[in-house]
Amino acid sequence: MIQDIIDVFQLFIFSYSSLTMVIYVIMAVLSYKGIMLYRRKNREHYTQNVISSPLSPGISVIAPAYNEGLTIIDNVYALMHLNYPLYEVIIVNDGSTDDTLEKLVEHFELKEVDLPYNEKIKTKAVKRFFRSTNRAYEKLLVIDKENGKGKADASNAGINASKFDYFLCTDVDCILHEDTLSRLMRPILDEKSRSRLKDIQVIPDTGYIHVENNQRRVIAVGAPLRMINSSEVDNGVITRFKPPHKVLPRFQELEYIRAYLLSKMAWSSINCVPNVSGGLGLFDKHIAVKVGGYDPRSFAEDIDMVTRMSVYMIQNNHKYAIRYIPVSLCWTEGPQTLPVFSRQRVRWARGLIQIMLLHRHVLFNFKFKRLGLIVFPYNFLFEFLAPIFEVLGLLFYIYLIVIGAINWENTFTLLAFLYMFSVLVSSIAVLWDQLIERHYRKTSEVIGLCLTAFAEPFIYHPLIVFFSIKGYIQSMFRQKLVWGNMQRKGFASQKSTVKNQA
Amino acid sequence: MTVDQTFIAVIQAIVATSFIGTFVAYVVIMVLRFRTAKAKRRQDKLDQLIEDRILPQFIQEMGNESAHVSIDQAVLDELALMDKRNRQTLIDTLIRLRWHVAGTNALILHRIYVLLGLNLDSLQKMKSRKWYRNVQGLHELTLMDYAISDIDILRFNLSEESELRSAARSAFMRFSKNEPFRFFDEVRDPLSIWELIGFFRILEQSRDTVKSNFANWIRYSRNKTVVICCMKLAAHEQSLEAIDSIEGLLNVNDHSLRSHAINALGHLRAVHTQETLIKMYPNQPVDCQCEILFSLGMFRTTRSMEFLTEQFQSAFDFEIENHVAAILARLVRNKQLAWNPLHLPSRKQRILNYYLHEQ
Repeated sequence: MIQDIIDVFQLFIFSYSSLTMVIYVIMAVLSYKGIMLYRRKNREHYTQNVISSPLSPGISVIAPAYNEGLTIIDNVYALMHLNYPLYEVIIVNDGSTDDTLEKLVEHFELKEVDLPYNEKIKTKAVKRFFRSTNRAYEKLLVIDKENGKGKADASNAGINASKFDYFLCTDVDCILHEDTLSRLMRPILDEKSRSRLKDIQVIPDTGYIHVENNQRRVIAVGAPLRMINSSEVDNGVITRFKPPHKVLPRFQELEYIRAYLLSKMAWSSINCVPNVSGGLGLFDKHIAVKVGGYDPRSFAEDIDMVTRMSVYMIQNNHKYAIRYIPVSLCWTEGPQTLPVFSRQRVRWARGLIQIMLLHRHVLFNFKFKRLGLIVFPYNFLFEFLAPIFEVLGLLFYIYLIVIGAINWENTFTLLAFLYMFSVLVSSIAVLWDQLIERHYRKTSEVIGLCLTAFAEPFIYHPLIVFFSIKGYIQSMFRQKLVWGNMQRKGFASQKSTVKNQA
Repeated sequence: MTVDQTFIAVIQAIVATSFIGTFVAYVVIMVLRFRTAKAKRRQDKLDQLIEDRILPQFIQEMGNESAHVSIDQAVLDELALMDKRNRQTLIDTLIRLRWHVAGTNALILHRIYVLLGLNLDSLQKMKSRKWYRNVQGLHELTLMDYAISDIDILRFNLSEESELRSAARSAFMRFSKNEPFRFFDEVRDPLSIWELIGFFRILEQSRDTVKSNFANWIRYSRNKTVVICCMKLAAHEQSLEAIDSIEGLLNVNDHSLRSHAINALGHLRAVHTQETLIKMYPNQPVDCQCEILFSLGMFRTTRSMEFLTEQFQSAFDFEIENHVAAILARLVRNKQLAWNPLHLPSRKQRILNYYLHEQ
């Protein structure tokens, strides 16, 4: 009987791992096709049109700031030098207790204004609005509000105050590529239906016929985020890209490349993107407001909003798309210490469990089409359950060792199989990244990053699994979540730090 | 061989494949890096050549309409020996320059492009069996103003690849002598805003040569995106003969089509439609109401300004209130409306003041 259970469990774990790998192979193929198509469609001079056109839609760039005094000036400068004809920058001071607001007021010559404000999405009280008296900073709007205990509430205040139809949500500590807006806007402007027009609709008022418009509405667009930790930054501009030197950010860099270039690009090519990251995402404001914006109670407010937007579109029979582009446009500072990293990953795990519970009606529901039959099942089976199965698998192996029933030769073969495959997947992700852009100056830096993949299964992956399980357990016992501070190092000091080290 | 042994053999094969795959990935990365370094050196060399021996000619003749561009035989010889990649780099550089100049200067760049024989490279791309090479060729020829015959372009209009159809439309619009928008008759797929942006760009680059009567397509096209596109183009080109056709769309059920029509009437300053717009205003959704207010702001008649001020005073909807306030503020700032808002409730005054001072 026990042997039967062991056999079944062994088969199950092997099938699960094999299925995961098959999915990765499919993703690699899909993402490669997506990347090559993007490269062909986006030669440099093709995208120039949007930068100089009066038809380019306006974008509100929303960046919440909480105790960002160290880097705020550099970051706002970077946001105000984006290459796009029509946009505004909204900085939401989310009740900072440091000198973030004072620095903004002083540096950008801000004065209080009586902005007409409509609270379409409920937020904590907004206290004041500031605009610059200097024409050079006319794009800038600063909102001062009570602390909403998270990015969601501040972002919602920014959405309420925004004047354009699209908003870009980012973190104020992120550094954006100067072409971020034009590149993210292209999929919105260029979305077409795959089929030629067929359905003919008679318009009775005029007596003539119009063909039905069967285009999809692109409700969100995202792009890869990367680690900035060891890069050199000068006045909000990255002057030299380097892979992070410290262990944790370095692993995260590899993880981000894999997640964005293999996974999200693949999902994008079949219109099944599960999430547009909170660090960089362009959204259709109309739909975002319809679903109530970000949920401040959510631990994964970005996935939550994207899911609600998708559900809204499906329930109202609107064709929609969520797109990812493969070009890295945003650089952010990753957690460098274990406690900060632990907080981030525990929060993500709790966010995932929250999403699964909150939107459980979507899971395996035919009414929700791809969302219910591909996106949610994948998230449930291969994101949510993966850490649990991994721990069960580990416990099972320990049990087999204890009872002396293990076949060491086969075990090592299986481990080598898992190990080499994970290294291969990471190497392919780095290769895909190199196909798009070669940010790192030295080949040794790229190879160094590839070699990190060999250590990942031993150091980084167990940490991820541990923090995920910790998050699930905390969720089960309804423990209060500690958001904590990111403890940023700041970009201003990075250049000098690197030089001193040299 | 037992089942277990077969299973292990399969696993071992996958391990070996993964190992080889990883190795191959590293080799490809190295090759890519090597090629990038080589391309960088090539670009530097070409930049130097352009800067030293081609650009001085361009700068010297800038603004001179009767400029005769000649390039040293030595430079031409050097370029003739260059491989395809070098010539592509040269085309890209000329296109980059082309983005920043117009008129005579654009003509000089065009002459350099032809003189160096780069047009042949672009024409060659049009013969390729790969759709993206065709797109590249069409883009290069369009951007460098190298005319190609209608027949050469029209064959791409039936392509399965939407990107190629789109590039062909842009090229046709740029080079067709008789009716640059004739392709609107045959468009069976939706036009995207991206294409419309491209059309606008071409209109700006060739202001004197591209003219068309959009009225027919607005009235008879069965493709909604073509109708919207034509309304925008008519508004941009101030094509007044399109007004009647656009007016016909004020009664359609489709809100989006109607709001585009109202907007176009505003841009075309079709003042005679003022009463119709005012009459239909109360029954419209917010987006159409905003467009009506915009159009009335463009008309700038006594009646339209009266209507705008009335709407501002009575509006409760936040969007309408702010929209009309911004229009009124612009009129006041441009001294087209003398209006003393002191009798307004303080909230309305605050809104108006914000737009008066901030925008």
